[in-house]
Amino acid sequence: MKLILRTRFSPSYFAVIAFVLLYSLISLSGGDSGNEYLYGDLYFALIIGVFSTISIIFGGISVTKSDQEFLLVSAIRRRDLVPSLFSAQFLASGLILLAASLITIFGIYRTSPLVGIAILDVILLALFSVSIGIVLTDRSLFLRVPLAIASLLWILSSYLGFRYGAISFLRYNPVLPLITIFPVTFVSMFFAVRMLSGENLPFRVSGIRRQSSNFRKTSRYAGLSPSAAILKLGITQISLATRASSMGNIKSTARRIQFSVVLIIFVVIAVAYSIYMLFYATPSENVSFPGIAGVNLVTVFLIIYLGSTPQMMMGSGAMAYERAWLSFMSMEPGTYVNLLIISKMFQAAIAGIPIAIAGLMLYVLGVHGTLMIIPVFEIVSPFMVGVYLFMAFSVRPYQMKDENYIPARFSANQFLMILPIIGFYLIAFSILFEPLSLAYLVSFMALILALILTRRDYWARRLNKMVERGFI
Amino acid sequence: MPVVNTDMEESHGFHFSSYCISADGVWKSYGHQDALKGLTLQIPCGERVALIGPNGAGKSTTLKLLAGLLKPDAGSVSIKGFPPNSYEAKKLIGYLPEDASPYLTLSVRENLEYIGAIRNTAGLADRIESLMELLELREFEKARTSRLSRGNRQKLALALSIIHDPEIVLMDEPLNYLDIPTQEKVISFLTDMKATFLVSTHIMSIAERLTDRCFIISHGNRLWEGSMTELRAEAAKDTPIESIVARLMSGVH
Repeated sequence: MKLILRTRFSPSYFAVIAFVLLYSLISLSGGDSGNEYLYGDLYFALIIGVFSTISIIFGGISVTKSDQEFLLVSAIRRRDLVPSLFSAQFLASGLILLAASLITIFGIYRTSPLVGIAILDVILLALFSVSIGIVLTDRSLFLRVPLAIASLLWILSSYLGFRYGAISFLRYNPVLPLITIFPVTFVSMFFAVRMLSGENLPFRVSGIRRQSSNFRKTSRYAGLSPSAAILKLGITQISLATRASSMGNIKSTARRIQFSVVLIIFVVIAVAYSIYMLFYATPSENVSFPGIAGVNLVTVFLIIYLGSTPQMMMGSGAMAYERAWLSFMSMEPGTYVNLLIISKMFQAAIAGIPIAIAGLMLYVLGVHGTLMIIPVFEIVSPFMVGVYLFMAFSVRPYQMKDENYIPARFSANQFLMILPIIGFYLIAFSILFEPLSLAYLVSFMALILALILTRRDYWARRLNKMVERGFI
Repeated sequence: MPVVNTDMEESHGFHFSSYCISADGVWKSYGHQDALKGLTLQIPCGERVALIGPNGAGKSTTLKLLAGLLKPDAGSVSIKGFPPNSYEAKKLIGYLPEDASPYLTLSVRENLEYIGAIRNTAGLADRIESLMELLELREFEKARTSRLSRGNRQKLALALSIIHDPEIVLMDEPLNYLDIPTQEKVISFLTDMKATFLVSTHIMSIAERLTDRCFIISHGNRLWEGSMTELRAEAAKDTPIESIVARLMSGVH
């Protein structure tokens, strides 16, 4: 098991997890009362919701190409292999969830003897997320999407009054949710272990069986100028690389999605957001919302997550799929990287248009505080994507040479990618709470962007490093 | 002796060279490991040269330096007098790395059109048709590249590296994964191309058919240089060429 883990994780990865766990434990000894923990339940609901959705939609078994070619064909007893593969999967993703959520749990249950049961709830939820990801290896989106919706409903049901929902331990009691968590986790773990023990494991992790070999719709690039070709590819296609996200994700997928499909999803989100804001976002006798300075925090968080997470994911594969021997040989690296970054910034801006329009219409209809959605989606989101990609290209990038396999070990570097998101939160919060700050922040963002896009020589030097580290 | 245009040299970082490919005293190391130790090689325009050497000799590093993907720690490298990472050199070079991977999320045609477009290839549509015909890629035109077999991926990578009809071709094991009929077609196509070639390969029969001269390198340095005829003359008539090369590589004369 030790050797299997060493092929997947760097010591720095474990160091980061240990740090977060330690931080959680230290927070236990703080002086704050657990009851005053500031909306920690909302934070936790988001973490577990996003995490389980990512696990279900993109889940699979975390294997390297070497695993497929050497480990899975070796004479290893299943009783040795299965616990190792499961543990590796849990360390790659489940432990991150656990580490990130302990702060919330301790914040809420610090003074209660029920803290142990609440932690058990979280451990089971983490095991569920990891197991369901394994079970769904090589399964199609037609199965994954309904399951993800069901899982999300189960998680959010606690907020709709269901006392046995996945996270109802945050609002009611940590014992009640065990009634649903335990059987769901047990069943998913059973099938996960069965999947890992099965004779078809090597075929299933290769993921070849269920994918069609032809694209139904292809794009044309002939006749375009070099810049137009790069911008067209960057804007019209989304290549997801789930490992590039900072959620301790599970595997890399070479999944190409047409931007037009995503745009439709954003239109649906804009409509749903408008309905929510028009009919449900107003406090009443029966419904109250957490707030600071009269601002509805649920609405603010909604905007911030919608303005950051999808856009970041849309750009996450931009570097992993790069073919440096083709693109950087065909063009000066600085120009190429700049065009790629700009294309993804455009993509984020276009994706945000439906929600920005919704914000404007809501403002015209008299809904308070929706006008600032426009700069959040049309300025801050694209800016954040630019910073994110700049960092993704700079921080030891990896190149996906074979889909379905993690290209390298999990390392602490991926946690650095959280930084642009934190930056986004700070800027978005400032604008939403104090609109006048936009004037200063636009200048600041313009300056940062100028620094990013004028570093052309930097990319020529960077390319050397990429190649030296095996990028090609 | 050719006339040197000093104004042009100063304005474009260009240094006149009668050689299309030139490396002079090049050192390159990865951390503490030296890959090249003062390698010098010069290839006149139009010549076809094989780069031969044992594993870890520095062949791929040499090609990456010439392609402008790496920078030498010491010494100089140039492509027709231009620095390899310059715009002028990039226009001249077609580079195929070992185990090259095209864009996996694009189809075969999209790969060809995309790289053809950013290479500003003249007559791109016709060029794509002829390359797909030659390399028998037409039936995979709309196929997602990640679904192609390794051999078909290699065919596509080959097409992408020469789509702009380069003057200087750098190839690292170009016939890897290809079936024998395709190898024959590719050899025939490459030998018809009017370009300067530097091809790294382990397979001597391919080196003999694709090139006229060879450099044998080992431990980051040049061991032997000469024509294929001279290489054959190194030993008795019936000795396999692989045995001659093996003897030269091990430094036994």
